[in-house]
Amino acid sequence: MTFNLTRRAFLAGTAATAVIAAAPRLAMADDLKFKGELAVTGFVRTPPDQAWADLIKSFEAAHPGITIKETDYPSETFVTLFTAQQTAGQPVDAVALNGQDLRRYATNGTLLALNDADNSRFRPGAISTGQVNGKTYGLPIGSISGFPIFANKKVLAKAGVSDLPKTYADFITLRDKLKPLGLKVFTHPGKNIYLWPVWFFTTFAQVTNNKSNERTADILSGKAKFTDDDTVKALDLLFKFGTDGLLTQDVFSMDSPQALADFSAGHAAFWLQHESLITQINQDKPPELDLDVMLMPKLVDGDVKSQYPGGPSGIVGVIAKTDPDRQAAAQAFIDWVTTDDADAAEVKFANGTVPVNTGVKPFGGGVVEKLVGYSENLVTYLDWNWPPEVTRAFQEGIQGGVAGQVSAADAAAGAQQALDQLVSNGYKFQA
Amino acid sequence: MLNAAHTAVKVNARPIVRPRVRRRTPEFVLALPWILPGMLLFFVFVHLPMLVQVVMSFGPDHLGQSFVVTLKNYSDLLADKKFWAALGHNLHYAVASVIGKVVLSFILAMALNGAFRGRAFFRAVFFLPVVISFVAIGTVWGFMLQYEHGAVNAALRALGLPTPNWLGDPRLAMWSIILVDIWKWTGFHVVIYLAGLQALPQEVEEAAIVDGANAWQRVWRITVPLMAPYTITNTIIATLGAFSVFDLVFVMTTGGPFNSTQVAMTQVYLNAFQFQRFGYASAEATVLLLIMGVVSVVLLRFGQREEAR
Amino acid sequence: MSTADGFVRNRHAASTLPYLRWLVLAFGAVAIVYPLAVFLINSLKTDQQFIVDPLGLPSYWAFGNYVTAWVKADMGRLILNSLFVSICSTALAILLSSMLAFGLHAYRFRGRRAVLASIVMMITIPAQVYIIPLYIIVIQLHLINTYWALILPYAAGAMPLAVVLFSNYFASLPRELMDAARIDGASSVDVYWRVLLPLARPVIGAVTIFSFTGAWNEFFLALVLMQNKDVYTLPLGMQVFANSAYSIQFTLLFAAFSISMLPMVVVYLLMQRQFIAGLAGGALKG
Repeated sequence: MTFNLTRRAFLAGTAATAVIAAAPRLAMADDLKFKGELAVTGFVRTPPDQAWADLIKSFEAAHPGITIKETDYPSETFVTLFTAQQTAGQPVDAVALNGQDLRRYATNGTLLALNDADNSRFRPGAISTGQVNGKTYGLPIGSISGFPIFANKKVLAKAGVSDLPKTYADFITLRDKLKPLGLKVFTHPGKNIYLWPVWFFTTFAQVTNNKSNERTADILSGKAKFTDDDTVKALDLLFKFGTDGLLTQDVFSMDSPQALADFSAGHAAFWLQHESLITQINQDKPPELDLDVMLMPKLVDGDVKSQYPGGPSGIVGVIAKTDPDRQAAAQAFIDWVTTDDADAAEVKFANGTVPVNTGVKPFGGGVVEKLVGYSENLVTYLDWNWPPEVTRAFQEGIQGGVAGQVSAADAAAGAQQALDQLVSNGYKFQA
Repeated sequence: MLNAAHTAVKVNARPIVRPRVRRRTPEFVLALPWILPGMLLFFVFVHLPMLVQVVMSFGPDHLGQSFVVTLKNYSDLLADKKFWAALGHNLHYAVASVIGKVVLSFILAMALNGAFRGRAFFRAVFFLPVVISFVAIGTVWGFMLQYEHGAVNAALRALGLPTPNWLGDPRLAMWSIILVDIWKWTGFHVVIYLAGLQALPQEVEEAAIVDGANAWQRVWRITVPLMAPYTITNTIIATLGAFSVFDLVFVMTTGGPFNSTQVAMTQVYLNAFQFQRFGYASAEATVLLLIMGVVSVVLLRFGQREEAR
Repeated sequence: MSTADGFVRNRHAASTLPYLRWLVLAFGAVAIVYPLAVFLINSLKTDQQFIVDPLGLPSYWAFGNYVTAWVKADMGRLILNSLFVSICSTALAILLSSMLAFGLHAYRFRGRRAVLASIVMMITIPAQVYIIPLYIIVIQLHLINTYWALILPYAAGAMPLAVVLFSNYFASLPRELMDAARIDGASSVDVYWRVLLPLARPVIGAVTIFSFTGAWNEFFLALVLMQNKDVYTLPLGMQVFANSAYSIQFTLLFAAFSISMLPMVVVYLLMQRQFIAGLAGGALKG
């Protein structure tokens, strides 16, 4: 999804929206009819989110008679457990979801379609995650974060390179300079399959002329296939990183902790990793690391932007099948936790880079500021739309492909096969 | 341990507690308050799930769809290469871990047998990993076996030996997990063997010595055959453990790399809790259960024949 | 590699065999202790040192890791939860299994064999094989997220072996004992509570040990049935911690895991003989 709004437009908008954002909060005082316990289901966050806890307390204080009961499930089993909670008929009024689960609950009728009145207070890239079929089902919280490429300037210096790579050929040159030093171009926690698709999102964005989400929608709804040229080409570009030795065999034995150790110790020049790395590095201050950040250079010809995959920290929504008074209270709750002040508190606590609310200024300088400058290039993670079986097919296919065991065509075929089987079992994609 | 069931059932004919009332209350009714609580708990939490599982396996793929009896899950299962590959891994796991555990524990039990100083210490040490949870052990070994920063490879590097990619090489990963499993459970089997060794009659052994048999012959001709029931017990326990293994694999490799360590239970978990395909996962679990049942019956029969000899 | 001298009590003096025994034992002991020791030592290093030097001794003894781990992983609560669940499930298993064994032993009725067999045949089947319907049943009973979600299945899981052990034990007691109690006018409850149970201490000990250990270390059911972090048991809490934002702070993780292993190890070291006697006793009965 491309953002045509420039940074200037964002800032111009904030002045107007700041007032509007504040207004609902003033008006909310205590005109809610519902009194009692609101049940909110969320996902487990470690460390425990103090900013969120404070928001809940302040909401309860502003609305005497309403208490919030929160149930949290671990992210990886969230869908199962939340589904079970509903099947068991336990009351739920509002949810805090991972962005990737929004689509599922929007399309199966769990979530209430919200009115679009105050959506302008969110950055387009953030609010779009909560929208399905033109309607808004959830509001973003926290910050938008993604996977740029982090660089270790010290390693580049050892190779005698002063500029960040601008083309694929630059990577190859760098590889040749690093090899005699026993150093690598990229590190990656390749042992787990979960993080491999992020590479694909990066290349696919370029191959599709920055229309990766639109193409994905086409493929999932049957208008196109994974086995078409663009997916295969994006996979090919990615697998070349493996065959060209930019990603070496040892990445397949590394977990995230080991990859961090690898990168921090200065064994590799780059790491395609989540922005939270910045906070980690600021904490650890490893001596062999001088952090910089960049986006993937252009790998294809043409007027294509380099995008990096990302999304908001979470989405809050209201459950559809509850009575109107409860719904009003739940709506008030999600409005409460998505005001500019609330967002500022969340972002500050979690050390996020780009707040989802346009009215909140980003914190931090240096690398963070550079990242904020890139934030328009953020494209929503494709697997937030993929069904889990397709995601898994890609995860396995990409891991195998980079290892040189699977061809791009076969990996794409695997994904298409997974999709076909789902469709034959009744799966239908709703844009 | 498994013959205990037979022993327990061959109880005496006369009941010991006979109520002295004129009207004979049926024994069954009297027994009920004693039996009912346990049976109720057991039924609700063991028998019932098993029944429901079999029923679910003949139903739809996902929860919430209307229930129609169908064999679709089973036909899908037959065609599912991933599941059969996983079962193959279970078989590999079973053979390797059983041989490893039985042989190693036998050797260690023999070494421990006999009164000598420090015996209690060694026995305690060997049994230690048994009481530590799989999660902790999986995590500990996960770090030890890590390719670059793990202690094992660091030691090998210091000795100038080649450093294999224990958990990252698809050919090695399964063996690494099996190794850790053997490491954890051998002590358990040692205790069982030790109990058997100490119950051995001395006369047979001493007669053999008198007859001039050397140590090696005594082990093979006398000890091993006499230990057969314990070997069977150990084998059954280890085999069933190998087929139902989950914790260790989940913590160490989650089925990777490249699906080389997928086992039946990780498949069940994946299908049930990641893809929400409960009906299908039930079919997988039912098939696994059947296989385990067959294996235990076969081994038991084999064991009974051995005992009869 | 044979060490047959084990049989011959003090018969064989000298020769190479004793050395072989010690070699085997030493090798085994080192294989067990070394990984645990390395782990412990690494838990006392700082992250930076661990990355560079996984084998050496800490240059700076980071005891603070343990404090941080205790707090961040909320270990106090995890341990209390595990303690509560393990004790309750063990007590329940002992009570129900001994009652059941008593009922089968004291009364004669058709179907005794069937009842016993239906329980004992499950001895070899681990709960994970039927986790899905168990999960649904627990939800339907509205037990999900409560301690009972684990206590009841754990107790049920311990029953097969416990029932076998109790049954065997009761069957092995002399008839006269119970007849004498009856003649003295004892009711069946008295016979159970005052006569049989006190005598069955060894069995109670064995059942306590394997039931408690099993419940304490159990991971899979906890993973599926407990979602609220307030009720996490230790193995689950540790796995979540190991995969959380702290997953990259190795030495902190090591410290947390070391703490988590401690309770069981301490209990085991204190009750070693009972552990092993219980297991061996069970094996002999088979």
